[in-house]
Amino acid sequence: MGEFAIVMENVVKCFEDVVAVDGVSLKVAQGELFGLLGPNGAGKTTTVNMLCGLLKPTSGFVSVGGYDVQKENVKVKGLIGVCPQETAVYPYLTGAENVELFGNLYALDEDTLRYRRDMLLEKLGLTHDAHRKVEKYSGGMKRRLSIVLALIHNPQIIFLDEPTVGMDPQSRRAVWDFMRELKKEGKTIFLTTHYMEEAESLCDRVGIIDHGRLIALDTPKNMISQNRVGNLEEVFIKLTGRRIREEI
Amino acid sequence: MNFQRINALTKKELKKTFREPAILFVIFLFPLVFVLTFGASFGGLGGSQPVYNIGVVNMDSGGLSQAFIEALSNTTLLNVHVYADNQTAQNDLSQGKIQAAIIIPADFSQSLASYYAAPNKPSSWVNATVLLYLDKGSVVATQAVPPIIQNVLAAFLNQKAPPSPVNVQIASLIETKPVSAFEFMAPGMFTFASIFLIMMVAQSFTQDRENGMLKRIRTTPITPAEFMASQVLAYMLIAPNSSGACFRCCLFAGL
Ligand SMILES: Nc1ncnc2c1ncn2[C@@H]1O[C@H](COP(=O)(O)OP(=O)(O)OP(=O)(O)O)[C@@H](O)[C@H]1O
Ligand SMILES: [Mg+2]
Repeated sequence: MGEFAIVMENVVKCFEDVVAVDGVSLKVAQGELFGLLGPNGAGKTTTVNMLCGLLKPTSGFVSVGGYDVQKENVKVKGLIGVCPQETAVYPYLTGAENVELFGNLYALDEDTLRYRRDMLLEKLGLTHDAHRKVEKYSGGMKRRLSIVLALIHNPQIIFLDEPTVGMDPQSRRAVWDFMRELKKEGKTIFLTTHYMEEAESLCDRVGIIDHGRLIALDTPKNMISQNRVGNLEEVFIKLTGRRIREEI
Repeated sequence: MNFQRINALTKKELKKTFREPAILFVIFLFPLVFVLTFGASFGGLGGSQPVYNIGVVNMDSGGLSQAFIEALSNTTLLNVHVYADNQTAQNDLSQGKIQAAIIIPADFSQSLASYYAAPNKPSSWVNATVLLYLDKGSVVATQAVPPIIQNVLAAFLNQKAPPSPVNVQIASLIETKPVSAFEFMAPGMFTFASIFLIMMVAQSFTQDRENGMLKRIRTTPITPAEFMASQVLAYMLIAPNSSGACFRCCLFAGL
């Protein structure tokens, strides 16, 4: 199991009235940039939450970094960085203070923490606003800060739940470049999105999820050529008969 | 337990508290309102000075002791009753008719005379002891009466600072240690602080839950025990500030 960073086997998650994830099996190799693509309510966030140990699957097996997420939760937590879908940052702290808090939660030593804080804030274009309170940030700035928080401890496996929602094209491109850089460093990235172009240009492999079911799993190129269409958007339409609604 | 984590979260909690105007209001203005309401409802605010009934038993036949009793009577704070013997004074004290009984010793006049003769030569003085019995049921009397007596005595001796040939000794059975305003108010303040603590922790919890922070914190390696420790620590630091503010308000309001 060592070569796979993430393994899901027949994972089901039921809430009281809905089956949010319905028998999903997939494997993500180490160093792979994997995209989970699907419309609203498809089960993307639920999948991520099970992978990072926030939710317990109703049935099935989940492992991250070779550890069973249920049984070795603590080891998994040290290994992963999670950027949740809702922008979770402390509004009453400054950007830098938010980053430092999370660095301390991962028990980084002072020098490493300072170095990584400055480096990440710079990469995501937040250096000038680092000492402003986060409640004064714009939505896109908060999202970028949220990504910094997920990466402060240099995690090997990174979960990004719709990281670029609400960002302007320029910021979005910067985040994409940053993700490519992380991939070059050998990090495994599990990305969810409903932006087709994001998945298409960025991901090594894409899984399309709809109503909790994984309906396609391949490289974007293969998907497009096998379905004999022009882009991922059309793949989705062909498979489901619907479009993915684009918000914003 | 990793102290770095606890420390970081505690600091965050403190920053939150002291940066949010709404919370600051709760911490520093709520106590003021609390104290004023409390004070007003118990009528302790702006009340007139009480008058203490004290009994005097004079064992001294000299003239100076009579003058001293007169000096005591002249104080507006005291209502002086003269008793013929110690026993009746004690009876009235135990029945609460008087709040204190003073026993003037037989050598009182002699002592004062020796002092007047040589005010700067303590070795030549005849020392005397005035015994003071206090009503143990009245916290206010035990606190207020001895200093009044001391002051009258000092004025009587024309004296600005100790030593004095006459010392006032509290002879009652109770151990009278000084009850400070703090001790007087401590139970109320602790109650206030603990209610406040519960309120704050609950509020902080729901707030962080609403904006998804708690979930996010749960993806980091912090353990529930460390998390709880940080919360408790933070509010242990905040609560005294609040009850401290409450206490200062009390002092300010003259309660
Ligand atoms: N805590 C919960 N209790 C009940 N139902 C839930 C809960 N969380 C999610 N669901 C349901 O599970 C389904 C999948 O939700 P999920 O959040 O995983 O979707 P998503 O793919 O992340 O959608 P989006 O693109 O809008 O973020 C939805 O039907 C949702 O209503
Ligand atoms: Mg989601």
